Amino acid sequence: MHIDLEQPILAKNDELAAQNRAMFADKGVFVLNILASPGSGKTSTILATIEALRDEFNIAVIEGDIASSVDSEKIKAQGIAAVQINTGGACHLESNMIRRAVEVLDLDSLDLILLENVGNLVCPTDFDLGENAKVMILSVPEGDDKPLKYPGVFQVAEAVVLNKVDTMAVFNFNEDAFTDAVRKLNPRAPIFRMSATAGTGVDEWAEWLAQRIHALQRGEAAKE
Amino acid sequence: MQTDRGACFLLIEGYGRGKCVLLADAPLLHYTYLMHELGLMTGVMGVVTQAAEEAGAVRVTDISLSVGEMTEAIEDALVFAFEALSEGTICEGAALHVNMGKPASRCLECGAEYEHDRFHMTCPTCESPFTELIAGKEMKIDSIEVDLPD
Repeated sequence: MHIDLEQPILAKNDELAAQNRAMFADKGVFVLNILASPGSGKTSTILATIEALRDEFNIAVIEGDIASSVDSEKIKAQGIAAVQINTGGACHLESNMIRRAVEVLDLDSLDLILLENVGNLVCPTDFDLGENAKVMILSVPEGDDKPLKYPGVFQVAEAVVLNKVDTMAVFNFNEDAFTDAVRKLNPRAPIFRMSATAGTGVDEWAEWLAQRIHALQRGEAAKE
Repeated sequence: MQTDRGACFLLIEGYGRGKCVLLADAPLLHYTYLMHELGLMTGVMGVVTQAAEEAGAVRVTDISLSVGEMTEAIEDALVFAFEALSEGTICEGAALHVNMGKPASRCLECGAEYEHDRFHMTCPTCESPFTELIAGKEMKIDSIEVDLPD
Protein backbone atom coordinates (compact mmCIF):
# COMPACT_ATOMS: atom_id res chain seq x y z
CA MET A 1 0.00 0.00 0.00
CA HIS A 2 1.23 3.46 -0.93
CA ILE A 3 0.86 6.24 1.67
CA ASP A 4 1.48 9.88 0.71
CA LEU A 5 2.91 11.74 3.69
CA GLU A 6 4.31 15.09 2.45
CA GLN A 7 5.46 15.79 6.00
CA PRO A 8 8.50 17.73 7.20
CA ILE A 9 11.14 15.39 8.63
CA LEU A 10 11.37 17.51 11.73
CA ALA A 11 7.60 18.02 11.99
CA LYS A 12 7.47 17.19 15.70
CA ASN A 13 10.34 19.53 16.56
CA ASP A 14 8.86 22.31 14.40
CA GLU A 15 5.44 21.96 16.05
CA LEU A 16 6.90 22.21 19.57
CA ALA A 17 9.10 25.13 18.45
CA ALA A 18 6.01 26.98 17.23
CA GLN A 19 4.41 26.41 20.65
CA ASN A 20 7.56 27.72 22.36
CA ARG A 21 7.57 30.79 20.08
CA ALA A 22 3.92 31.56 20.91
CA MET A 23 4.64 31.18 24.63
CA PHE A 24 7.67 33.51 24.47
CA ALA A 25 5.70 36.08 22.45
CA ASP A 26 2.85 35.93 24.96
CA LYS A 27 5.30 36.65 27.80
CA GLY A 28 7.24 39.30 25.84
CA VAL A 29 10.55 37.46 26.25
CA PHE A 30 13.27 37.78 23.57
CA VAL A 31 15.04 34.45 23.01
CA LEU A 32 18.47 34.28 21.38
CA ASN A 33 19.84 30.95 20.05
CA ILE A 34 23.66 31.04 20.11
CA LEU A 35 25.48 28.68 17.73
CA ALA A 36 29.25 28.11 17.72
CA SER A 37 32.04 25.56 17.96
CA PRO A 38 33.34 24.17 21.27
CA GLY A 39 35.92 26.60 22.66
CA SER A 40 34.83 29.59 20.57
CA GLY A 41 33.90 31.59 23.66
CA LYS A 42 30.12 31.11 23.86
CA THR A 43 30.04 31.21 27.64
CA SER A 44 32.50 34.14 27.83
CA THR A 45 30.38 36.05 25.31
CA ILE A 46 27.25 35.30 27.34
CA LEU A 47 28.95 36.52 30.53
CA ALA A 48 30.08 39.73 28.79
CA THR A 49 26.56 40.22 27.37
CA ILE A 50 25.04 39.78 30.82
CA GLU A 51 27.43 42.36 32.26
CA ALA A 52 26.52 44.86 29.52
CA LEU A 53 22.74 44.39 29.66
CA ARG A 54 21.84 43.29 33.20
CA ASP A 55 21.02 46.81 34.42
CA GLU A 56 18.42 47.22 31.70
CA PHE A 57 16.98 43.72 31.22
CA ASN A 58 16.11 40.69 33.34
CA ILE A 59 18.14 37.85 31.85
CA ALA A 60 18.21 34.04 32.16
CA VAL A 61 20.46 31.52 30.43
CA ILE A 62 19.79 27.99 29.18
CA GLU A 63 22.98 26.00 28.70
CA GLY A 64 23.12 23.02 26.34
CA ASP A 65 26.00 20.58 26.73
CA ILE A 66 26.46 16.88 26.15
CA ALA A 67 27.49 16.57 29.81
CA SER A 68 28.43 18.59 32.92
CA SER A 69 27.10 21.74 34.58
CA VAL A 70 30.36 23.69 34.28
CA ASP A 71 28.83 26.46 32.18
CA SER A 72 25.64 26.98 34.17
CA GLU A 73 27.68 27.21 37.40
CA LYS A 74 29.63 30.13 35.87
CA ILE A 75 26.38 31.92 35.00
CA LYS A 76 24.82 31.28 38.42
CA ALA A 77 27.96 32.68 40.05
CA GLN A 78 27.00 36.01 38.45
CA GLY A 79 23.59 35.91 40.14
CA ILE A 80 21.74 35.08 36.93
CA ALA A 81 19.19 32.25 36.61
CA ALA A 82 20.68 29.38 34.61
CA VAL A 83 19.24 26.04 33.52
CA GLN A 84 21.58 23.30 32.38
CA ILE A 85 20.42 20.82 29.73
CA ASN A 86 22.59 17.72 29.33
CA THR A 87 21.76 16.22 25.95
CA GLY A 88 23.49 12.95 26.84
CA GLY A 89 25.12 12.56 23.44
CA ALA A 90 22.78 14.49 21.16
CA CYS A 91 24.74 17.13 19.25
CA HIS A 92 22.12 19.93 19.34
CA LEU A 93 19.25 21.28 21.43
CA GLU A 94 15.68 20.37 20.41
CA SER A 95 12.48 22.28 21.12
CA ASN A 96 11.14 19.77 23.67
CA MET A 97 14.31 20.28 25.76
CA ILE A 98 13.70 24.05 25.76
CA ARG A 99 10.12 23.58 26.83
CA ARG A 100 11.20 21.54 29.85
CA ALA A 101 13.97 24.00 30.69
CA VAL A 102 11.70 27.07 30.72
CA GLU A 103 9.29 25.37 33.13
CA VAL A 104 11.69 26.24 35.94
CA LEU A 105 12.05 29.89 34.85
CA ASP A 106 9.70 32.73 35.75
CA LEU A 107 8.91 33.96 32.22
CA ASP A 108 6.76 36.83 33.52
CA SER A 109 9.79 38.49 35.07
CA LEU A 110 12.19 37.95 32.14
CA ASP A 111 13.12 40.14 29.13
CA LEU A 112 15.83 37.99 27.59
CA ILE A 113 16.76 34.30 27.48
CA LEU A 114 20.17 33.40 26.07
CA LEU A 115 20.25 29.80 24.75
CA GLU A 116 23.75 28.39 24.49
CA ASN A 117 23.44 25.56 22.00
CA VAL A 118 25.73 22.52 21.99
CA GLY A 119 29.12 23.40 20.46
CA ASN A 120 28.69 22.32 16.83
CA LEU A 121 28.50 24.17 13.49
CA VAL A 122 26.25 21.67 11.66
CA CYS A 123 23.27 20.11 13.46
CA PRO A 124 21.91 23.05 15.51
CA THR A 125 21.18 25.04 12.33
CA ASP A 126 18.31 22.70 11.37
CA PHE A 127 16.51 22.58 14.71
CA ASP A 128 14.14 25.48 15.38
CA LEU A 129 13.79 26.05 19.13
CA GLY A 130 11.20 28.84 18.95
CA GLU A 131 13.84 31.57 19.26
CA ASN A 132 13.54 35.16 17.97
CA ALA A 133 16.99 35.10 16.39
CA LYS A 134 19.97 32.86 15.80
CA VAL A 135 23.46 34.32 16.08
CA MET A 136 26.76 32.57 15.51
CA ILE A 137 30.13 33.10 17.15
CA LEU A 138 33.37 32.28 15.34
CA SER A 139 36.64 32.67 17.19
CA VAL A 140 39.81 33.72 15.41
CA PRO A 141 41.82 30.55 16.25
CA GLU A 142 39.26 28.45 14.31
CA GLY A 143 40.46 30.06 11.07
CA ASP A 144 39.12 32.43 8.40
CA ASP A 145 38.02 29.52 6.15
CA LYS A 146 35.10 28.36 8.32
CA PRO A 147 32.38 30.09 6.23
CA LEU A 148 33.57 27.98 3.30
CA LYS A 149 33.42 24.76 5.31
CA TYR A 150 30.18 25.34 7.24
CA PRO A 151 28.04 27.62 5.05
CA GLY A 152 24.73 26.66 6.69
CA VAL A 153 25.38 28.20 10.07
CA PHE A 154 26.58 31.49 8.52
CA GLN A 155 23.39 31.67 6.45
CA VAL A 156 20.91 31.23 9.30
CA ALA A 157 22.68 33.71 11.61
CA GLU A 158 21.18 37.20 11.95
CA ALA A 159 24.49 38.43 13.35
CA VAL A 160 28.03 37.05 13.43
CA VAL A 161 30.33 37.64 16.37
CA LEU A 162 34.02 37.35 15.52
CA ASN A 163 35.51 36.58 18.94
CA LYS A 164 39.11 36.59 20.23
CA VAL A 165 40.12 39.36 17.78
CA ASP A 166 43.06 40.12 20.07
CA THR A 167 44.71 36.89 18.82
CA MET A 168 44.47 37.73 15.10
CA ALA A 169 48.20 38.27 14.54
CA VAL A 170 49.14 35.01 16.28
CA PHE A 171 46.80 32.91 14.14
CA ASN A 172 47.48 34.67 10.84
CA PHE A 173 43.72 35.25 10.41
CA ASN A 174 42.81 36.90 7.10
CA GLU A 175 39.92 39.14 8.13
CA ASP A 176 39.21 40.40 4.60
CA ALA A 177 38.87 36.83 3.31
CA PHE A 178 36.60 35.98 6.25
CA THR A 179 34.38 39.05 5.77
CA ASP A 180 34.16 38.43 2.04
CA ALA A 181 33.13 34.79 2.54
CA VAL A 182 30.48 35.73 5.13
CA ARG A 183 29.11 38.50 2.87
CA LYS A 184 28.66 36.06 -0.02
CA LEU A 185 26.64 33.70 2.17
CA ASN A 186 24.78 36.33 4.17
CA PRO A 187 25.00 39.93 2.93
CA ARG A 188 22.79 41.39 5.69
CA ALA A 189 24.21 40.01 8.95
CA PRO A 190 26.37 42.49 10.89
CA ILE A 191 29.79 41.18 11.95
CA PHE A 192 30.82 42.23 15.46
CA ARG A 193 34.56 42.19 16.21
CA MET A 194 34.94 41.24 19.84
CA SER A 195 37.17 39.94 22.56
CA ALA A 196 34.70 38.83 25.20
CA THR A 197 37.31 38.30 27.92
CA ALA A 198 39.13 41.60 27.23
CA GLY A 199 35.83 43.47 26.86
CA THR A 200 36.67 44.75 23.36
CA GLY A 201 33.70 45.40 21.06
CA VAL A 202 31.11 44.16 23.58
CA ASP A 203 29.24 47.49 23.60
CA GLU A 204 28.43 47.42 19.85
CA TRP A 205 27.17 43.84 20.08
CA ALA A 206 25.13 44.55 23.24
CA GLU A 207 23.61 47.65 21.57
CA TRP A 208 22.48 45.56 18.57
CA LEU A 209 20.87 43.00 20.89
CA ALA A 210 19.26 45.71 23.04
CA GLN A 211 17.70 47.26 19.94
CA ARG A 212 16.22 43.89 18.96
CA ILE A 213 14.74 43.46 22.44
CA HIS A 214 13.33 47.01 22.42
CA ALA A 215 11.73 46.36 19.01
CA LEU A 216 10.02 43.26 20.43
CA GLN A 217 8.86 45.14 23.51
CA ARG A 218 7.49 48.02 21.38
CA GLY A 219 5.60 45.45 19.32
CA GLU A 220 4.15 44.02 22.51
CA ALA A 221 3.15 47.46 23.75
CA ALA A 222 1.44 48.24 20.42
CA LYS A 223 -0.68 45.11 20.74
CA GLU A 224 -1.90 45.90 24.24
CA MET B 1 40.38 3.75 18.63
CA GLN B 2 38.84 2.59 21.88
CA THR B 3 37.87 6.18 22.69
CA ASP B 4 36.26 6.57 19.28
CA ARG B 5 34.16 3.47 19.77
CA GLY B 6 33.05 4.75 23.16
CA ALA B 7 31.99 8.04 21.63
CA CYS B 8 30.03 6.27 18.91
CA PHE B 9 28.15 4.22 21.49
CA LEU B 10 27.19 7.36 23.34
CA LEU B 11 25.79 9.06 20.22
CA ILE B 12 23.39 6.25 19.47
CA GLU B 13 22.32 5.92 23.09
CA GLY B 14 21.57 9.61 23.13
CA TYR B 15 18.61 8.93 20.87
CA GLY B 16 17.00 6.79 23.51
CA ARG B 17 16.73 3.53 21.60
CA GLY B 18 17.95 1.67 24.67
CA LYS B 19 20.50 -0.40 22.79
CA CYS B 20 24.06 -0.06 21.67
CA VAL B 21 25.12 -0.22 18.04
CA LEU B 22 28.80 -0.68 17.40
CA LEU B 23 29.86 1.79 14.74
CA ALA B 24 33.56 0.95 14.70
CA ASP B 25 33.30 -0.29 11.11
CA ALA B 26 31.86 3.00 9.89
CA PRO B 27 34.07 4.75 7.34
CA LEU B 28 35.53 8.01 8.58
CA LEU B 29 33.16 10.09 6.46
CA HIS B 30 30.18 8.57 8.22
CA TYR B 31 31.74 9.05 11.60
CA THR B 32 32.33 12.74 10.97
CA TYR B 33 28.82 13.48 9.76
CA LEU B 34 26.78 10.81 11.46
CA MET B 35 25.46 12.89 14.35
CA HIS B 36 23.66 15.24 11.96
CA GLU B 37 22.00 12.51 9.94
CA LEU B 38 21.07 10.56 13.09
CA GLY B 39 19.06 13.55 14.28
CA LEU B 40 17.25 13.82 10.95
CA MET B 41 16.60 10.08 10.63
CA THR B 42 15.23 9.96 14.19
CA GLY B 43 12.60 12.43 12.93
CA VAL B 44 11.91 10.26 9.87
CA MET B 45 11.50 7.12 11.99
CA GLY B 46 8.98 8.85 14.25
CA VAL B 47 6.74 10.07 11.41
CA VAL B 48 6.98 6.85 9.36
CA THR B 49 6.37 4.52 12.30
CA GLN B 50 3.26 6.44 13.33
CA ALA B 51 1.85 6.51 9.78
CA ALA B 52 2.54 2.79 9.26
CA GLU B 53 0.94 1.82 12.56
CA GLU B 54 -2.13 3.97 11.87
CA ALA B 55 -2.53 2.16 8.52
CA GLY B 56 -2.30 -1.20 10.32
CA ALA B 57 0.85 -2.14 8.41
CA VAL B 58 3.08 -5.03 9.40
CA ARG B 59 6.14 -3.80 7.51
CA VAL B 60 7.47 -0.70 5.78
CA THR B 61 9.10 -1.62 2.43
CA ASP B 62 10.03 1.80 0.96
CA ILE B 63 10.57 5.33 2.28
CA SER B 64 10.96 8.31 -0.09
CA LEU B 65 12.55 11.53 1.19
CA SER B 66 13.32 14.90 -0.39
CA VAL B 67 16.37 16.55 1.16
CA GLY B 68 17.88 19.84 -0.03
CA GLU B 69 21.65 20.07 -0.37
CA MET B 70 21.69 23.22 1.79
CA THR B 71 20.79 21.07 4.83
CA GLU B 72 24.36 19.71 4.63
CA ALA B 73 22.94 16.18 5.00
CA ILE B 74 24.80 13.50 3.05
CA GLU B 75 22.88 10.73 1.31
CA ASP B 76 25.23 7.87 2.28
CA ALA B 77 25.17 8.96 5.92
CA LEU B 78 21.34 9.19 5.90
CA VAL B 79 21.19 5.58 4.67
CA PHE B 80 23.76 4.51 7.25
CA ALA B 81 21.89 6.23 10.09
CA PHE B 82 18.60 4.70 8.90
CA GLU B 83 20.06 1.19 8.93
CA ALA B 84 21.35 1.67 12.47
CA LEU B 85 18.09 3.15 13.80
CA SER B 86 15.62 0.85 11.98
CA GLU B 87 17.11 -2.43 13.19
CA GLY B 88 14.45 -4.40 15.04
CA THR B 89 11.65 -1.99 14.09
CA ILE B 90 8.76 -2.07 11.59
CA CYS B 91 11.09 -0.20 9.19
CA GLU B 92 13.92 -2.74 9.21
CA GLY B 93 14.94 -3.70 5.69
CA ALA B 94 12.96 -0.90 4.00
CA ALA B 95 14.54 0.71 0.92
CA LEU B 96 15.37 4.37 1.56
CA HIS B 97 15.05 6.60 -1.53
CA VAL B 98 16.67 9.99 -1.01
CA ASN B 99 15.94 12.68 -3.60
CA MET B 100 18.67 15.29 -3.07
CA GLY B 101 17.36 18.75 -4.14
CA LYS B 102 19.53 21.38 -5.83
CA PRO B 103 19.65 24.80 -4.16
CA ALA B 104 18.00 27.71 -5.99
CA SER B 105 17.72 31.42 -5.16
CA ARG B 106 15.81 34.52 -6.24
CA CYS B 107 17.62 37.83 -6.71
CA LEU B 108 16.04 40.55 -4.56
CA GLU B 109 17.21 43.26 -6.98
CA CYS B 110 16.53 41.97 -10.50
CA GLY B 111 14.16 39.09 -9.69
CA ALA B 112 16.14 36.39 -11.53
CA GLU B 113 15.68 32.82 -10.29
CA TYR B 114 18.54 30.37 -10.71
CA GLU B 115 20.09 27.12 -9.41
CA HIS B 116 23.51 27.20 -7.75
CA ASP B 117 25.84 25.13 -5.57
CA ARG B 118 26.03 25.31 -1.76
CA PHE B 119 28.42 28.27 -1.68
CA HIS B 120 27.85 30.66 -4.60
CA MET B 121 24.50 32.44 -4.36
CA THR B 122 25.42 35.71 -6.04
CA CYS B 123 22.96 36.57 -8.84
CA PRO B 124 24.41 35.42 -12.18
CA THR B 125 22.40 38.10 -14.06
CA CYS B 126 23.16 41.32 -12.13
CA GLU B 127 25.84 40.05 -9.67
CA SER B 128 23.88 41.30 -6.64
CA PRO B 129 24.72 39.54 -3.34
CA PHE B 130 21.19 40.27 -2.06
CA THR B 131 19.35 37.04 -2.76
CA GLU B 132 16.95 34.73 -0.98
CA LEU B 133 17.00 30.96 -0.99
CA ILE B 134 13.89 29.47 -2.60
CA ALA B 135 14.97 25.79 -2.63
CA GLY B 136 17.61 23.60 -1.05
CA LYS B 137 16.61 23.58 2.64
CA GLU B 138 13.73 21.11 2.28
CA MET B 139 13.60 18.05 4.54
CA LYS B 140 10.42 16.20 3.68
CA ILE B 141 9.06 12.66 3.83
CA ASP B 142 7.24 12.27 0.51
CA SER B 143 5.67 8.84 0.83
CA ILE B 144 6.06 5.29 2.12
CA GLU B 145 5.11 1.82 0.86
CA VAL B 146 3.85 -0.64 3.46
CA ASP B 147 2.75 -4.28 3.62
CA LEU B 148 -0.65 -4.91 5.21
CA PRO B 149 -1.47 -8.18 7.02
CA ASP B 150 -2.77 -10.94 4.70
